[in-house]
Amino acid sequence: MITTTSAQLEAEKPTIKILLYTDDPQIAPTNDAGQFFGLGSMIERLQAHAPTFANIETKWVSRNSDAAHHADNKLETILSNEEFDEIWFFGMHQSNTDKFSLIARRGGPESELNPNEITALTKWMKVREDGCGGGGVLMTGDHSNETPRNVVLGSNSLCEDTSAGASFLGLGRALGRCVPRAGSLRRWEGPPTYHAADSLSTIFNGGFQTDRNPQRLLLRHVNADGDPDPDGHPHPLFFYKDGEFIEVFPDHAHEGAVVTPPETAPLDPHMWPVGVRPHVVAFGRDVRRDEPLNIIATYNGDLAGVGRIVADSTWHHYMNLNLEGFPHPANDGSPSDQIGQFYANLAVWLAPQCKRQEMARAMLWELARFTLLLEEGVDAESTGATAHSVLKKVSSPCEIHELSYAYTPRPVAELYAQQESVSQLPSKELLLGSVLKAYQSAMIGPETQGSAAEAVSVRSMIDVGFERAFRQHVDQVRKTLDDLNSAG
Amino acid sequence: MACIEPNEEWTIETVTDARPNRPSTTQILVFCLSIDQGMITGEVADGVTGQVLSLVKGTRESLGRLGLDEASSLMTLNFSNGPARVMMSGVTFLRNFRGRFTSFVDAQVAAMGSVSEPGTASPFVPSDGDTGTGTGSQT
Repeated sequence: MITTTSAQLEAEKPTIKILLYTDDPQIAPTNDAGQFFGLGSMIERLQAHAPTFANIETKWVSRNSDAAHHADNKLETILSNEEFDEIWFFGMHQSNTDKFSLIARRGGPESELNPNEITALTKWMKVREDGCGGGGVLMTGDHSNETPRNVVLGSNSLCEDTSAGASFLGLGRALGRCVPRAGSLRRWEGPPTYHAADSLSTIFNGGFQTDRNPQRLLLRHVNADGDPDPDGHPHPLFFYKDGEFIEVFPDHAHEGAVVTPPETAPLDPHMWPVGVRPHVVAFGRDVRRDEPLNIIATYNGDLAGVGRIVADSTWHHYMNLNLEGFPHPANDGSPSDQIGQFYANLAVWLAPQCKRQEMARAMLWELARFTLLLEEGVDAESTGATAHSVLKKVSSPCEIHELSYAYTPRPVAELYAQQESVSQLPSKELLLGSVLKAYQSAMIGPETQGSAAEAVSVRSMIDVGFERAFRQHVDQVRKTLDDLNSAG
Repeated sequence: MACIEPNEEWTIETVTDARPNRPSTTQILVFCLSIDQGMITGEVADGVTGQVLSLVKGTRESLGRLGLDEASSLMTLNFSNGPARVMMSGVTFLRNFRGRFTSFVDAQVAAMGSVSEPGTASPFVPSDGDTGTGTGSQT
């Protein structure tokens, strides 16, 4: 039995489920007094900037529940018991050690991910045959400290340990280094450390990490796929308001190092399928150095059938300590508001493509209903323009961008990614308006004609909309050419 | 005032005990401390405004000699915050600190009302007799 057409197109907003995974209960989801290494302030800001077309649900889990329980929350078990769209890693421990402790030499014999966990993560990060899956990963850590005296070299068959002889190991290395692809986007051995001589400091203007002065970011321009392109725009993670970008970040005196494969070197196809490259998209500044520091790198797994990744130079960008100087909630344009928007952008951008498509369906459904009431009888381009103006009021530029990207057929997205051809293509208003018109026709038709509802799918409505938009554009171009010919 | 090694940077959040008609107030203090054979010298600033509040003197003594964990110590910090002299003491364990403080304002200064030296103004100025907790860590 076929339900009504509207019922088939109706879409509820989904929930993006984020696992906040740490190995140290100190990195707690609270914002109590003096709890400087907590994530509570970040979580509040994330929720305050939550997207319009998805709910955000965070779940905090420490690999070691407390000082009496070592590795009682392994990823393999967590991922088999509950579905998550994203994992944000906030690891503290450096390596396996001979004895578990959360005190002086933090770590234990099972601090590092084991082969079963790596296998579970690999599967979780891969897009399934049904098009879903492909979990997103935020990889953080911090500077390196002295290698624990009781370090035990890893013997993981899926993840070689290259740290023998290293005198410094990165904070967060134990959880991070073996995460597929994401683990390779940070340097886990050797400098930078906390020593002044080889630290990376983004502290702005000689102040404190707790003060009101954030670091200033230098944003790299990228194309629609996230590849560097001087003619593009800053990465969607840094979209703020219409035409404005997030250009500030919490600062810290001892950041870690984000690294990416050299741009000209061949990629290991086992690690980086289909040749899709990660790129640094935001830089910071250490006043003692000439070269900018890598702060954020991104990997657009959409293009490779795997989850997206963001690598960050330090978890301090998310901690209560570093957010102290930015009271929340805050005015539009303030550093606090920009930083909060970044967390929400991160949640949206890292969401699996399937989840972003769900969000897009919720968005199209809401827009189709709204414009149906307001815009009866107007052309598709006007409907699209109205929809866009509504979207700008209720949603963030990053969310709008990502949801548009999610429902746009890949060949069309590729056309738009070629910047020089954009002016020859249908406007984005016409594309959106045509999709909404297709929705509305499907919603109204059976009701006004008194006929039975046919089976429809959102995908078919989107395809019909895009086809009509291109056809209309071709007609307009042809008419313009005819007019020019006759005038000549 | 960035704190550079070998000095230790400690960030401590102070919360005053609520009193009648005087609600609890919080402040972030950043201490940059040089510790030599148990004697502490350094300076303290408001962590949010970045303004230096005063010099710091104090002591740090391992509690190992009392049979407690060697990694724990008793730390006292004496400094000024606007017109108030503050005495804070507490226990450090590894990189964490938890303690109590008391503020004193000279009667003569208190009689003049809230006075602070130019350049040392702080959003929160303790009053005579203010007590509270200090919690934080080496950052």
